[in-house]
Amino acid sequence: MAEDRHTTKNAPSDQPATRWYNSLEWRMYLRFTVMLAIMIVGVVWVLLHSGGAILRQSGNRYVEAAGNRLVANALERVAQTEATAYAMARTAEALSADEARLLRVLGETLRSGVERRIIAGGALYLDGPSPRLWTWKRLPDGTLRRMDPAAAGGQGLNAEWRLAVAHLPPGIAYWTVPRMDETTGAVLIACAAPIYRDGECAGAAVCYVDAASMDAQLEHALPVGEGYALILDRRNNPISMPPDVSAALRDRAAQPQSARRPSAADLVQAYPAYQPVFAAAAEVNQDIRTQVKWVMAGNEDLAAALAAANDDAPDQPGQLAMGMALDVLSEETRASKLLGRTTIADDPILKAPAVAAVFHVPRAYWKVVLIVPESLVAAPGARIAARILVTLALVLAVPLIVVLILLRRDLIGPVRHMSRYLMGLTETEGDFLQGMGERAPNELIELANAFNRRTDALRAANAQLRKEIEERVRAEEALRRSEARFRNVLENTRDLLYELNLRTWQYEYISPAALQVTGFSSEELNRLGARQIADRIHPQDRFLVSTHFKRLIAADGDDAAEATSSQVEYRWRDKNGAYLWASENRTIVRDATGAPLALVGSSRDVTERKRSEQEMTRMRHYLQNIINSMPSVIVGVDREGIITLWNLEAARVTGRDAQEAEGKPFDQVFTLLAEVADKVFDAIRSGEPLESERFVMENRDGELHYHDVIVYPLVANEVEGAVIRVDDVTGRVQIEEMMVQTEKMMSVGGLAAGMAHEINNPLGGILQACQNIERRTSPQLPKNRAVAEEAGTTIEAVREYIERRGVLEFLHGIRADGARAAKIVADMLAFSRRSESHFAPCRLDDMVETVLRLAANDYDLKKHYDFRRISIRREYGPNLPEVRCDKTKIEQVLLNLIKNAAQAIAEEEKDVTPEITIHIERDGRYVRIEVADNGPGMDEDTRRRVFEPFYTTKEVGVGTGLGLSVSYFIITKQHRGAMSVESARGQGARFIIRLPIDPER
Amino acid sequence: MEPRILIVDDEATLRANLAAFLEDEGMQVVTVSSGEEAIETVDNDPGFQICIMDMRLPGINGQEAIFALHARDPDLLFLIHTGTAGYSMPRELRSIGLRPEHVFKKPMSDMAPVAETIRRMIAWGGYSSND
Repeated sequence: MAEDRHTTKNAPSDQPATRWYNSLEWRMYLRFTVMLAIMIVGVVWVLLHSGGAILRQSGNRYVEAAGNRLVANALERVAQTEATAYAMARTAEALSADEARLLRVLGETLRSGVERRIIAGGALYLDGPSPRLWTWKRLPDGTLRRMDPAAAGGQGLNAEWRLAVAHLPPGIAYWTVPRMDETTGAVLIACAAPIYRDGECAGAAVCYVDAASMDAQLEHALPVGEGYALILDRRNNPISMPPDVSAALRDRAAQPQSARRPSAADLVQAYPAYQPVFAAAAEVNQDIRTQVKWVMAGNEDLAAALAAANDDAPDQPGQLAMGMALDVLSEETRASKLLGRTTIADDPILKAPAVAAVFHVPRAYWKVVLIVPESLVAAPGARIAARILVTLALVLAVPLIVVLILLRRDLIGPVRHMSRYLMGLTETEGDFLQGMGERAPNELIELANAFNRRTDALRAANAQLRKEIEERVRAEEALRRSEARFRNVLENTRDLLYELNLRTWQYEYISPAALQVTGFSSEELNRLGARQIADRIHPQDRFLVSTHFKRLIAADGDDAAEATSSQVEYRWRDKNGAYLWASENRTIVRDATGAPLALVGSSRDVTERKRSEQEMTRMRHYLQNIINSMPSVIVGVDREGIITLWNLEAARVTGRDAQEAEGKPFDQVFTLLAEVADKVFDAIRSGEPLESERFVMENRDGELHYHDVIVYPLVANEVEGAVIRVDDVTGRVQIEEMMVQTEKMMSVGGLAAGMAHEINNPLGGILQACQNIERRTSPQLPKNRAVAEEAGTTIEAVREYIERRGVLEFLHGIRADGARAAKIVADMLAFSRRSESHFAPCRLDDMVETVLRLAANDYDLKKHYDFRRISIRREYGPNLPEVRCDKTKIEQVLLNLIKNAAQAIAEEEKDVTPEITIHIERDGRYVRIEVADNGPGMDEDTRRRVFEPFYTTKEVGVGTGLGLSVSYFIITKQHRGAMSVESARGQGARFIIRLPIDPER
Repeated sequence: MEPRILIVDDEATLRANLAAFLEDEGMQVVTVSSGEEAIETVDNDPGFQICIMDMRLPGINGQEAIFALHARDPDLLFLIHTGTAGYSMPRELRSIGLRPEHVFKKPMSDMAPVAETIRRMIAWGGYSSND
């Protein structure tokens, strides 16, 4: 939607001005000229720079080669001299005991060296309490003579080496500066090697080198006219120079002491032109000193000693000397090397400008100075360069010019002709070949022909184009209409459509529906920008949306269709600040490489839908809650009996949760229902609700439970199936049973009350009649005797008769049965009486004790079994409260229970000791009394009926069948307590009574 | 002198048996079958010492008969012989000196206590020794 703000205003295409220098011809001339110039400049530059460098290097190489040769010569001499000195030192070490022999051997060694012109003499210095010095000198006749030992400290040439050697390790020699031998006048340089005995320096072996002997070597070192060389000692004083040079120097200097070698200062004084040479040599020394300074520390005494040992004793030679003495300088310094280079403006010997190069001679620390005429180094290079330059210029320039001329004739001319013709050409037919000229090259003629053909083709194409343009105009019109249609759709659709550029994060387009959906107009949204729009997403949905977006971006595109385009629903804060639910379809537009370009989305306000969805969800949860809160098992099934609903109670009862149950046949999951499966299907088929009451099922613990099963068929809205409701009514059934029991008793009570009078009267008659019969047949009553006599018999006879005929027993029977009947009536009457007048607080344990005493003396009990055989266990809990009750009634109940227990035990002879356990404990607001026996117990049927009136297991005449029901009545009705029994066949019975501590409360 | 006893009971067997027993004990017994008859008997022939009264009677009931007879002869003492279950003595009867021990409940398997009580009452000249 962001408009392209970079609308470029194309400047009206000006006709390029036809200036003369713009012509092909002139451009060609110009470029050729420039090219030529660049070439020449390039060649000159190359020659001047790299070429010069190359030439100079070749000169240097010449100088270096000559220098290295000279250094090698010098080094060879140094090495030979050092070798001789080492040999002498080893000999002195070996022959320390025999001094005479040592001197002889050393003499031989030196003689051999002198004869080979390597050395010019030698010396042996032995240190000790009386140091001695022997010296061998070469005499002018060439023989070697040994001087007698000088006194210690005597000058053997000079003692410079003596101190240095003391610090040198074996195998290192020390070179001194040149000295003139007073005896022979020769200038000698000493090379001293230390002699070690028992690890300590014991002296030195010395060889002398004659400086003059090196002059001859230098004379022929270089060809005549190609320069000369000097050798300088470590203090830069000349050791050796070619004889012609020294002669010239001598002439020039006109020194009074001709024997003395000229010093550096002399030389410079004589020829100031040498100044730079010695300056360069001094620089070399400076470098060495710089390095030596690093090892100065700790050896300052040595440095000072060495400085003192040098006769002219300046500081610098001292340091140099130490450097040599310690031999610390690096290999680099000790290597033969071109160390410095300088020029001499006007060499005094060569009489021309010269180049001077300073080389280093290792070990002796000499310097070889090579002076070569400059012409020999630089001149040949310059000459060659000039020659190359001219040749190159010619070789490059001539072909260039020729090419230029040919090009002008063969190409530019015809092209110019053709262009003139083309310029003048109108739309009328023409021929490019006209005026082309005979010498036009084939290519141009072909070109002209091609132009001709092309012109014809163009004319045809022109016509074709015109036709096509007309068609295109029509097509564009159609396209415009179509686009307008689409735009119309876009603008009018209720969905918010947008395109977000993913590179700039700017919206390219936002449809006008934005106003309706968000309250913001398209322009306002555009101004808000992607960032703020994203910020308006509900915080809880942000993660969802961003995750969704990242997944979209990450999706490969060819992965799956849904990956590049998918739906996301989120809440968005609209202009009013209210959250709306947006359902958005997002598509990522990608470029050819798959990189995301834009996000295209269509967003719909689904707030209404969401709200109703939420309402529905809430409603569903509500209903689910209701269903789950039901104490009934509620199971929904479809018409095939597959479970579709399974509430919590169902899960609790079956032990299977909804996930497990749903989707399975109900009779498989809820096996208890398998028996009613047919009824369920009947209900579904018939559409009639179906009830199945008091359905007895055994639960998981094996207890029998009563269930009401109700099947409601579902008929509404094409939902077929049924809802099965299962209620566990065991508790209710039990209560109902109890109520029935009580009602039975109450009716018995009511009946008895009505009947009692009517039965008691005849019973009274029967019983009283019996008593009268007994009395009136008794001999004790005087009236009987009188009446008997009146009747003509005696009372004794009557009595005897009655007794003989068993009439008395019959009478006893009548009386006993009458009494029994009277008891039944009295018991029945107990059900109707409800007087609480006798209620008083009593201790139950006391009452139990009373009852136990009663039982022990009970006539009926005694008749059948010995109560004392039974062991009574008393379990009386602590803190038993007094219970407000009718003492007589409760005692009646307890006696009844205990007698029952005793009778039950007596029924069966067992190995186990008969035992009655009486347990009393407080149980909240109640007191719990349990009477348990270990008798045969009772089966389930008996247990259920045991409180029923007239139900008895005793033989006829033994019990009335009312004892337990009366007890039950007394406890539950009169005392508002509870009474139950636990028993199973073979496990004894346990009667449990719960009496409220205060029945009024 | 033989004690004179009036037995009021609508059950012929019962009154006959009780009468027989008491006669055997040496008492002079008259039996009637209703309260009205008892009143008439006492009006015509006063001098009964003890009256044994059934409570459930045709016509006026035992209690009314007792008050009627007591009004005519305050020296006449009463025993109650009833078959009514759970009979308990009303305050009115207590007011003329009757006590629970003067109530005999049907059926009686032994009539000796009745004779004994009669003799005691006659000896005392009232319902209890304090009278």
